[in-house]
Amino acid sequence: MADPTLFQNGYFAITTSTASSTYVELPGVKSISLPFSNAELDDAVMGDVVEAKYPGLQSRPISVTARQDFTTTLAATSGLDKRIYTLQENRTAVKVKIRPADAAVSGTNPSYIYNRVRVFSSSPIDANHGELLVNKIEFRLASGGTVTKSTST
Amino acid sequence: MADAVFLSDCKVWNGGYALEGSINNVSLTIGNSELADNRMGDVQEAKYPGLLSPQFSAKGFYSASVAASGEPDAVLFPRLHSDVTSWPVTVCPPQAPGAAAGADGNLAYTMWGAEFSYEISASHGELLPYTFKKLPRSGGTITRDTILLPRATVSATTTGTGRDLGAITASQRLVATLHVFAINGGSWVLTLESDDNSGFTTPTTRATFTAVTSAPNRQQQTANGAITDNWWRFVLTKTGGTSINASATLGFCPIP
Repeated sequence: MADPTLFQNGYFAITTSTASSTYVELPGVKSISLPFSNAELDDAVMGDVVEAKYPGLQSRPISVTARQDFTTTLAATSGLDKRIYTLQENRTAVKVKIRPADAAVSGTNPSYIYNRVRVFSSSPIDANHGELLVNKIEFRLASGGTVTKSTST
Repeated sequence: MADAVFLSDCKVWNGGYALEGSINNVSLTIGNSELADNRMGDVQEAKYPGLLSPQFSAKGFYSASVAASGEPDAVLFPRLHSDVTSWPVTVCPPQAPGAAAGADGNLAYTMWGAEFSYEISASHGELLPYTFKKLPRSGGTITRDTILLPRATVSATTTGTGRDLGAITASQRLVATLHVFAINGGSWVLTLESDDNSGFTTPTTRATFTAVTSAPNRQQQTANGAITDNWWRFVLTKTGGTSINASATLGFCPIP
């Protein structure tokens, strides 16, 4: 059995558009969630004694929390708020690539590649006095969007 | 990498009232409705971002005496009770990027909307808290602003710092917001200028606010692009009177 994966340096990168293949890591990421589920379509027929289901459309949302950063300069290590707000305001579709570790892609460190997602929710300022600001960001797949798992890119 | 943003302070300007003195929690969230956009060929639940749904809420400690001092009940109860007009709420976090919340040149988010809830609720022995929530009304806006005129008391015509915020395209408009917290006489007119150079050698007036003679007060001015100038500043012009305590911010957003 392989060792467990300690999630201490995950890789979360986005492009500036779906036409771009240049991925830039989102700075200050604290948590990433990419649940894979399917709609549960009723598939019970005469003879079934269970609530039979058929897996329908795939649901592939992405949830990210990141340390808030109001730096005005967009760079690989700064400008989170400006980057996310601009994407959401303009409804810009981008690509997202996620890996368990910020290391070379491999069979044990695969990439999950979303080819067309948009920002649907963010929280630029949301905290109690005395806390650190965290931006909670939600991505959703757009029409034509796909999710692929790669061990080579 | 930039330092984390420690929320030790956050200015909350609601109309002509500064509420931060009572607040210990702020929440500005921006969502889009998730419109189903899956078609033949899609195997995912594809979504398209629909209407923006910004929401502002805050929590703090209840007090009720003087509205001009930012006492929350004096400001918020009349808003729920008898005033459904849109007011701007400008939220100024710290380290944005200047350390002080509300500093000249810092980022601030401004949402125009009305109050939709105000709640006072506690158990015996607690410090009485309050919460309130604002949502945009029709025509309401949310903008990611820059503070071009930080909150201050001025007693003469004042020109804010010119800043390079970039040009705006034909599909964008500017949204300028004025908060007036106090006035000691006179008539005060805020104008927004742009130019193609930092020295503002040939400024063009892009928006002129209605003269303000009383406080509290608030105003919004908008103008559509395209505007090729990239430098922007406010000028607050005094006619008579003694002083004014005000702030102004500028943001750009898509034309609906």
